[in-house]
Amino acid sequence: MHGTDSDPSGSDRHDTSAFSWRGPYGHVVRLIERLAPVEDGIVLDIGFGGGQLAAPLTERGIPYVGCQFTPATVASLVAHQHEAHKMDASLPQVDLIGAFEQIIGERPVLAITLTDFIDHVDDPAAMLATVREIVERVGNPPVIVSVPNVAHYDVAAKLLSGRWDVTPTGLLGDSRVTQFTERRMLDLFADLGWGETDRDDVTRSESDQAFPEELPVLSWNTPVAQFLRQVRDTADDVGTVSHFVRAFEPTRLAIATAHEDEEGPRPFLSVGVRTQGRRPKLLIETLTSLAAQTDQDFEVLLMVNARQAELADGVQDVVALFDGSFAERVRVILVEEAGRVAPLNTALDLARGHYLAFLDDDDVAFGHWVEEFHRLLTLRPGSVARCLTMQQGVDRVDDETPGSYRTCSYDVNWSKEFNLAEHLANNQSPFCSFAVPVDAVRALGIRFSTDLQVVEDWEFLLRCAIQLGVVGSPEYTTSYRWWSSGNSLNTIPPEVWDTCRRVILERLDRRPLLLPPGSASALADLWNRSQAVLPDTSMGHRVAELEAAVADQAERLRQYQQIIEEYERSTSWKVTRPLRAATERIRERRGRSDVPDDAA
Amino acid sequence: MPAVSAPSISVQTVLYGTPVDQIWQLMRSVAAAARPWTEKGGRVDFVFGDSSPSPLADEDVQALEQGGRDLGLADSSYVFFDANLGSGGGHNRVAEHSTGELIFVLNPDCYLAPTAIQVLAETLLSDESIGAAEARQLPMEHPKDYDPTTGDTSWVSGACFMTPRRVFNEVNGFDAEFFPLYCDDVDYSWRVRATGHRLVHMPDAVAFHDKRVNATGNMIASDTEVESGALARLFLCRRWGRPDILDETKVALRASDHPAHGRALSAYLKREASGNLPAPILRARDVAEFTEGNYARHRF
Repeated sequence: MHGTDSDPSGSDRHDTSAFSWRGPYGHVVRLIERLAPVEDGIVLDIGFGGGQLAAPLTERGIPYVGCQFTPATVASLVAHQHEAHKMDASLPQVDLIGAFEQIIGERPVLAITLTDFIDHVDDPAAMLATVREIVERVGNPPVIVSVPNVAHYDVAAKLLSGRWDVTPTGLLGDSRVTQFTERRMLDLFADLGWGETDRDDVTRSESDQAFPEELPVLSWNTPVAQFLRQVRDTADDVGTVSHFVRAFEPTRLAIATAHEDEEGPRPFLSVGVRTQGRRPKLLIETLTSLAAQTDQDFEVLLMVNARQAELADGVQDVVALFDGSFAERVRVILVEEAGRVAPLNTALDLARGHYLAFLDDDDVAFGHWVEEFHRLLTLRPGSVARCLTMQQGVDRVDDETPGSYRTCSYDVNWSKEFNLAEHLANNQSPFCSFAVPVDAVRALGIRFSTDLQVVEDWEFLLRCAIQLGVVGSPEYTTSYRWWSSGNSLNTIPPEVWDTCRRVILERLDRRPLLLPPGSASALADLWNRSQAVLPDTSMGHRVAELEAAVADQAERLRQYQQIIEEYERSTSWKVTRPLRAATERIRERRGRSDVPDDAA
Repeated sequence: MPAVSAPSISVQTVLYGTPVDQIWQLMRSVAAAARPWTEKGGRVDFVFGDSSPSPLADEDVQALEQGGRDLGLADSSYVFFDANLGSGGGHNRVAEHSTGELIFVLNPDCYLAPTAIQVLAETLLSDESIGAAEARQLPMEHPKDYDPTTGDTSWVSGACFMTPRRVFNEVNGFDAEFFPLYCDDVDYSWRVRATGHRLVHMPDAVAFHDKRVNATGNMIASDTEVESGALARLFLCRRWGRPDILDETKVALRASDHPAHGRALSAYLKREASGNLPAPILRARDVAEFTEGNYARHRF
């Protein structure tokens, strides 16, 4: 068994139509049981399939009323002493609603169920509009829906193998006319003004589509399947859900669907600026560099990581100093959650731009920072764009001295090209040097890890770069302030840095690593070079040899020192001191060190 | 200077083929930076002179002039020179049209931080002995040294500095004849210094100056910069009493294989032959600093 399976029964994997407590019908009953009780409230089961809910609900004292468009199944339920009605699908909506009202009569309604129904109609939206009318007329009971998940990993993976295996029943049952992902289902109900209020999804790590077993993408052991499962898992958390079982009710909240027309077109870039609001002079410099950009197709998310609202007010005052055409594109957002990571994830959530880049409140962009990202990402959309960064060495000055800092150097320290292997060993891309595609990052579920005290940007970059690839530029487009004191390198202990690095690599080690084209030769070359440097010996053996040699030299030195000390303590050494002093003087006068001993 | 709480300021720039978008961007930053000063009762106007071969379109000029006023500037005006006066000559011409008690010399490829005007103006007002005050440039600062407490420095950058008009007039502005493009700021600075005034670097006044660096992280210098800079160095050495460095520079230029160096040397020698050189200034060594090939000690 490779994962949690909600139905370990030995039933035929293709038959999901029978009632099982571990299957969709059982989960629907469980959801019904969780509802607030309604005395004598009926469950109206529309499009009831085989009437699988009738018996279990009746056994639990819940009155069951089935409505179906197929006469055969109606007759079967009636024969088993259950109330069932045949509906005429050709009726106009108003008459259909009237028919339902007549069936319901004066009876209170506990819930309306649509189990494997909306996936069997051509126009689910139209059918749900009818159901909504009924719901509104009978006191707005919850609507419980069960539909198969066409985006289950097994279906998705098999599609990549060119397979679409229709079966009599199950995820790809042959009677199904409409396929549902979670997003499609939720959007359908959101359009009606209904929100999800409860769920009890059926999960199957191996669904009824998990065949043929020998297919590599279905394996649990092959790297390709492990990688594909990883990709699926990052998209959402329903990759192993075989059936969605959800309860919906009308929501009192206004449905706010963000239409691009209402908010305006998305900018090319969102710039997340992280600040604690305590360095206004430096923040002015960062914002000035943004306002001066040659390409102004960006918005700024100014993330104020502080508990005190007045710090955010102070930041807002700084923004207000700028020209309106720039200031109006700056959003000041107070992030009260502690830690340096929270503002980054908040920016990721709020970004409207197609791409996202970051600056800290002491970074400065060159005039073409945005322009260069734009150029790169026009060449290779959907990639991570990376430019180069100058390291500006700065010393702090005290509050009495003009300026917040004094520049003492400009250096070029980081690698000019992005090399994944090198970046796995050491980060060569300061946070301000790269931009990521927002939609892709969100689709992959990539976020900044909140458990990292430092190098959260490094992990984020690696995860993006591995899956999206990197397009690089030789242009220096940012200046990164390297403080001589008070920066994280000298305020956070080295062991914290080492631990965070180790955590990042361990996380990457748990899954297959996707390498960019060219990596095979690069790795082979790297291996051969490492072997050439250390022929016939391992690195560990070589280090041991060197350590032994150093220890040997240290021991010899200790012995010589001991000999010297013995001489100095000896009587003859002390007696000959004046002679030695005189000899030295003669040597100095003659400028020679080879004066015979009998020269004195 | 009489004690005035907020004297008028003329911000001036000299265009040469500058795109209209860039002029708007500069002017917006000037208008924002002017706000704190106008709120104190000061007047800030913006004059943009044009050394380009042909003038801006009329509609662009009208839009810019009206736009500046709409943004809160006391005035915004365009002056087409119909001649390439260079940077120094251009600023001299613009200064004839401007009226501000303080002159703010600004490159068209700059963008002012919103506090820049106020900080520089207050610096000049704080001490009458200050003849010029410059802003800190982003993203690449000039490496020249400055006193961290007083700001005293050897020269102020022509990309962004403010000077009292009385001082500007006293030294007759820039020397456009010998320093049309480069080192005009060094020469201006030292002539200001020669009148007994100080030059200060004010790091709290920030101006973004759109410079780029090359693959090795060094500032990119065009051939024009190299040639003009070399020629200007020769003139500086001549005017500011360093015949020793003048001779060294000639030797270096002669030995260089950079074509721009050869052109600079030729131009100087031609002038030398015709006697058309700047006259040496008395006691120049008290004012000028020639240090390790630069015009100031460098921090880095």
